[in-house]
Amino acid sequence: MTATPSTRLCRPYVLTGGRTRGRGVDIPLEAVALTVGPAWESGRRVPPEAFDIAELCNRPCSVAEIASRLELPVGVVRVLVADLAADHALRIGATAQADAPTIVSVALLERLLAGVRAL
Amino acid sequence: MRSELPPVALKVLVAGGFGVGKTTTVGTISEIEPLRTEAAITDLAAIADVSATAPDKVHTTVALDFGRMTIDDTLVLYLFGTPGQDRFSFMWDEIARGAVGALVIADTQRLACSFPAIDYCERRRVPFVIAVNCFEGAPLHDEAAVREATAVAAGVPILFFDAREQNLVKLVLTALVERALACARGEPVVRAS
Ligand SMILES: Nc1nc2c(ncn2[C@@H]2O[C@H](COP(=O)(O)OP(=O)(O)OP(=O)(O)O)[C@@H](O)[C@H]2O)c(=O)[nH]1
Ligand SMILES: [Mg+2]
Repeated sequence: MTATPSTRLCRPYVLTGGRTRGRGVDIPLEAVALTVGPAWESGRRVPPEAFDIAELCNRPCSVAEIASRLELPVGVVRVLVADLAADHALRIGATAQADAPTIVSVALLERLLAGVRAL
Repeated sequence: MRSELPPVALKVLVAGGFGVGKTTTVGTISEIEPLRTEAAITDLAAIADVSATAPDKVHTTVALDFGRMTIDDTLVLYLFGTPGQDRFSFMWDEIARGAVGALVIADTQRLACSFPAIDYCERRRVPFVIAVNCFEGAPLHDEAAVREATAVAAGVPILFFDAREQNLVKLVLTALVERALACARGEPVVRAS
């Protein structure tokens, strides 16, 4: 299960078909993915790593956590998560980054503050 | 097909100089063991760009540690400890984008090594608090001295804490969210000059 550095060096191209830009590159590290349906229904060839992601995300899991737990480069996780989302196999949760360009919204911060105080 | 939505995710940067207690801070308050991932430079775009010009640099990776705090069913907060060395500051941009703000951790004995983190936050208009990690014993400087040395805006909270104490880390985090809220309501991140 542990990826050695040398396999990591070339695997990204294999896993993502050499795509280096486009779908997925903007998904923030903290964005949480949740599996909502099967990954194999699209008819597309789904790499085993995508199945691993789909299984892990049966419970909500961020891009950073997926990369860390599956020992995959963040860039690969982003592309595979984006593909799974496009196939309706998983959903990607909202982040401040996607919703607001600079400062996080007052309403969200108020929720966060109440939550942190209540911990 | 499941109908529920994933939680909304927010994040906080835990920044500061080398060895000031960033990882300890994350670990003290995280509900999971701090995880590591290799961020930014392992991104495919980065690999493609770097490998074209310098193939031997492809192995360059930057470890980023992070923790998680579940706020409620629909909101989760991630804490990202940024690499301490200056030469990694290029990857702060990725973590800073959309962040609530930054906890700038400073070591009371080596305040200056957290100055680059303060500079960064001011330049990028990232709301921040300064949390002075006291390690053993009393702080070497009081708040006024730290304020003078750092020349931060009057509204920037300066707190003294111990990175291993959960209650103190929680207080520091609360101060940051309050500060972020003040900034979101219009208070300037940097001193008007
Ligand atoms: N006594 C004491 N030791 C601490 C405290 N905070 C951190 N340490 C120790 O200081 C060392 C550095 O702490 P880290 O949390 O790893 O610091 P860091 O900022 O993540 O370091 P880098 O990631 O290498 O820049 C570790 O050995 C910690 O155990 C503290 O409040 N008191
Ligand atoms: Mg560390």
